[in-house]
Amino acid sequence: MKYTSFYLLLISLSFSVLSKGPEKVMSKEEFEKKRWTKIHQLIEDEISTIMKVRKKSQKLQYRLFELKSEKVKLYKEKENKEFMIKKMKYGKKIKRKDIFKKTLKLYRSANAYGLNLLKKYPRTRYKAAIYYTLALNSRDFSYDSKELTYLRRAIEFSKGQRNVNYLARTSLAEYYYNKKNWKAAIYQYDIVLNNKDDEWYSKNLLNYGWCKLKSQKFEIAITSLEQSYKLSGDEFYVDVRDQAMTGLISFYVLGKQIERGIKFIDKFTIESEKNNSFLKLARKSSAKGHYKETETIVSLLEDRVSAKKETELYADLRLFQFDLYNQYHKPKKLMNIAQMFKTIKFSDYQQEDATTKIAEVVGAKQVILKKDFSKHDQSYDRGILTEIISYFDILAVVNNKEKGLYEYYKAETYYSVHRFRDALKNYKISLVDYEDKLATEDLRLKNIDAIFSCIDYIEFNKVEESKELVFAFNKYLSYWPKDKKAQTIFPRLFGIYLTRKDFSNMQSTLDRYIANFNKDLKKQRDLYRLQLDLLIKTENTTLLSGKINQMQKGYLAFDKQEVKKSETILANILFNSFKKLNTDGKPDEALAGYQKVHFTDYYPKSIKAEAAFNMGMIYTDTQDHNNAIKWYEKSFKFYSKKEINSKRVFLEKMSLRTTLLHDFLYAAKIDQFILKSYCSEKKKNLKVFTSAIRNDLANDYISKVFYTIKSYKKCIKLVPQSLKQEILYHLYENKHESDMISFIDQHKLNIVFPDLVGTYYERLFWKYYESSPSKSSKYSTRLKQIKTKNSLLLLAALKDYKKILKKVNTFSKVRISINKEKPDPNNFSASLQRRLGNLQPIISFADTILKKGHGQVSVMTYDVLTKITNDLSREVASYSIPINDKNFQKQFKGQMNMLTKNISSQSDGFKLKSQSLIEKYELLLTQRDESHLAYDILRISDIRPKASEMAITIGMSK
Amino acid sequence: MIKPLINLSLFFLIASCSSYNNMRQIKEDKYDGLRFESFNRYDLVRLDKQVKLQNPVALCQRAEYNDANDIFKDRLDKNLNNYDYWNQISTCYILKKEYTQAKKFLDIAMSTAKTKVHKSLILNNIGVVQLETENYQEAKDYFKKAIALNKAALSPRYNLSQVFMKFGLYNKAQEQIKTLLKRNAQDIDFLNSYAHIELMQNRYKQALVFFNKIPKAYRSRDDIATNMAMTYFMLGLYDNAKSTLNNADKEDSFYSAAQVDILKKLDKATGK
Repeated sequence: MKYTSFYLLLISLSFSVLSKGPEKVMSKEEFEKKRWTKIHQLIEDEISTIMKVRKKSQKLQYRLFELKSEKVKLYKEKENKEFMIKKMKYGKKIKRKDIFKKTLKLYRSANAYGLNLLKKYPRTRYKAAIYYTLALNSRDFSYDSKELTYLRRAIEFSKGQRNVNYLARTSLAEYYYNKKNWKAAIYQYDIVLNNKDDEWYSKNLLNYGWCKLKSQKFEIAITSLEQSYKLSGDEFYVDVRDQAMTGLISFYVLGKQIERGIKFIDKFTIESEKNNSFLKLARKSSAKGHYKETETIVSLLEDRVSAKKETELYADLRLFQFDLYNQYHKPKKLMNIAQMFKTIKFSDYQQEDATTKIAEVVGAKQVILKKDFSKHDQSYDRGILTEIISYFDILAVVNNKEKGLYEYYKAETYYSVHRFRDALKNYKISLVDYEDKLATEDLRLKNIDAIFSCIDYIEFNKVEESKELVFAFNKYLSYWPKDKKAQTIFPRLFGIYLTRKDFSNMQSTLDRYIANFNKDLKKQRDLYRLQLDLLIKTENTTLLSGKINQMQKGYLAFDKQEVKKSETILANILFNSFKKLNTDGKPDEALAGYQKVHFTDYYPKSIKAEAAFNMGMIYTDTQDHNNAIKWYEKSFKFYSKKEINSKRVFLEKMSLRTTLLHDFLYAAKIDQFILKSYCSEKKKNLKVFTSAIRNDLANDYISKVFYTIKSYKKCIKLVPQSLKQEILYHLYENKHESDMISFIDQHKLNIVFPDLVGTYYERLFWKYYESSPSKSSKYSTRLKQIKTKNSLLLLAALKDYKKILKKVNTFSKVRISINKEKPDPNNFSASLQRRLGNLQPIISFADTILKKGHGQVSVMTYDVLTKITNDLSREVASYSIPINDKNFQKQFKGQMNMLTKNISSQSDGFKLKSQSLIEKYELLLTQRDESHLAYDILRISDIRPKASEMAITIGMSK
Repeated sequence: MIKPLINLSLFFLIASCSSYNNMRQIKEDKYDGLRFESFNRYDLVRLDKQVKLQNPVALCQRAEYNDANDIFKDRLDKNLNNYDYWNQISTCYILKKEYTQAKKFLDIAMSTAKTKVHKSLILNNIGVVQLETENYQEAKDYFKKAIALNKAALSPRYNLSQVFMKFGLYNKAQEQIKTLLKRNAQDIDFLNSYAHIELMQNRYKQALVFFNKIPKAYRSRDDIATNMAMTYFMLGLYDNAKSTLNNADKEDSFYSAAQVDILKKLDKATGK
């Protein structure tokens, strides 16, 4: 033991000497191993060297004994490490004897060698030293309890050997000290302490002081320790200040010399240790019930200890103070100190300590509080409550990672005294803290249950209650969304949001409900419907549209009928405002509204379609028909087939309305749009087809009529004959002659309506009879082809008419010539008679024409007869026979006049017959000349009224 | 306040006078035997009273078609099944000379007409459309149908008489005019038509009797003046004929041409 330090020094020096510049840094283990090896080597080398000496002196042999003892120590050091490791691992299973085998072996060897030396050299001068070494070996290595014997013998045989004697006595004093044989120890120390040159003197004083303390000799004890402390400050002596101070602290308190202790510490303790020492003194003082003195020390420390520089000591001080005030029942001071904990920087163990201390205090207070509350009819000390809460607040700061737990405890405390609002608040905070990982224990269920309980107890108004329930429900659901209780909570939470009209949260709640309970479809649908109802009630079209979109995509598997119903409701809401705008005479604003809806992506297709369609209707009303058609077409791109079908009625009504608003062009366009869109519905389309035709006829757009027939006849079964007839009437009556002919030819109307077509051909024949013979001839050909009764009659009558014209022409060319030289009345009379006779066949032939019964030809025939008789009358009147006979001339003139008159009256007769014919049959004939009653007037000027200009429309009803 | 209003009314009246050109206008109710059926022969003053009553046909008569159209549109929804409403529209189209459109509305009117009287009215107007488009046979048939359904209606008789007169069915025409004259012996056009029929049947003196029943203020009307001049000419009363022609309004180009023809004859007859 003595030489250990020497060897250590040697080794370290050798390492530094042997070092060759910068070397690899060894670990501690490596160093220790190297050192041991080195020392061992040195010992072995020295042993080896000594062994080489044949005749060893006693000195050498003693040296050998020392070396053997050192070797034992070395192996003990080594085996001790092994022992410590295995002890850690196997605990009590490890026996010392199993580990220290080498040590014990070497010890026995060394011991035997030593004893052998004594035996061999009973008077050797090394006897005391050998016994001393044996004593130390026994003490350190074998535990064979031979130490005392060997020490006594060492002392006995160490007369004259002051050093060995001193060492032996010192060891013996330690032996007695360790054995608590104070008296014996004191005895030895009294001797040992005479030697102040021993560096261990300070240690010896320390032990001596303890022995004196144990012997209740406080003064000497204190003095010894004080001396030991002071000497420890000297470099020569071993520094046992720590132990001395520890001892002194106890001694001062036990010896009731605390004041002295304060002074000593203040005066002699090194500055860095002073505060610690004071604190220890305070602890000891407190522990022994010296409150005042302790307070004095504490006050002193409070002035001395810096919270910033000596944080640990400061914390210890405060922790001690806490214990102090708790021990001595100083609640205010206790609280004050506890409050300080909030700002103190505790080390981990100090924090734990502080937590434990406060927890104990607060726990006790809780018990009191609860007892009071139960015992005294729910009354309690509010001060205690406040304290408890404060302590928990302190704990929450000190042990922040368990803040959640303390908040829970606070809540529990409040709850225990029925302060439910406060409890609720803290339960909620606790929950939040737990989520922020400020609690180790899972407090969630406890807190949630407690929150629900509080809500039940607290008389909240509706708003407050719902707010709290929302919090609690949401927390519950976030933790245990699939829990059985959650299944009832989802609807309840939804219900609260419903009351608040909080759609966003309603939906998110429902979504979570669905995600966690996908079999509760019926219930979930009911909730969704509630949401829809509210949206409808509040006319929130944007959200409602989004909901419907969801439904359309299969959300909650609503059936199509229900989706459609919702769409209809949305449309109604959206469109009501627009409809009102339109009704209020603001169609532009209504259009803008509909357009916006149409172009907004999130509205369902049916809504977009409906918006477009409604725009079409507004445009129809405002007579912007281009846009009307355009928007109807747009709407159809979004409507389903069924919806398109349902719009037919509207469109037909729009077409009708457009017609009634006089816009036939666009009414026809709508009709065409209907035909195009519903072409397959042939039966229904006939009415629309007819309407389209009639609308174009109203505008007199013949090419459009033909286009409609051509393009859309495929959309009806058959173009009705009645419609063709209607078109035919229009074409004739509005003078579309060439179109009419094409139409007749295309549709073979000459076969379908032969009489009507024949009538038209005849009228046109007569129209062009004089003005355009070629056209007239064309119609004549058509009349021949058509072969109706009337047409054949006309042609037959005309044929005869032409013949009579020839006859008349022949007749007119003839004139009676009278010989001026030799007028022969008889000859003249015979010629005249012949001439008159030649008229009769013509008249007879005329009768055959008249009998045919064609009105116009008959009148033309009358014209011929009237003319021929008029001309004959004039002719007869112009005849004169140059016979110079007054009687003759008188008779001649008289007879000629009578003849002229007869012929004229015949002519008048033909006029009257012509007139009678046309009056009888109400013939409105264009070809009528000579037989016209007012022929003479008409020859001057045609003053017949323009009937159309005289026409009267009846614009007033009665 | 009233005076300015009157002045304002007069102003508008005068302003519209310049644009109102109705050669057949009759200023006095008593001379208009068809005044309860038609505005065709109303002058501005008589029309004005109707216009104030927001009568759209009166507006059309004044060629204010847009205003009339606005009234029709406003009244549409309340009159979808009202024959009279549709008839009024068609009357306006007739006045505008848009006959295919008129016919369209007459078809609608006919579909909504419930009584014979209503139908008679519409048939008359269809007849007028036919007349205007020179479909005389069809016009005659419609007028006859109108009369058959409502013998008290005067306009179809008048219209029919004009058709007859154009095509020389003077007896037939005279039948109708006689009936009309019984209802109103002072109607300008009834008298003129009767006189014309007499003229065309060469009963000149009788014609003159009826021409002279026409108030002097109206004798200068071109059709009346021309007929009168012809009567005078045929009677050999050339001076009367000439003075009649000189007093003629000469606003109607058709009759102006006829007047020129007569004048030529007069000049020839008088050696001038």
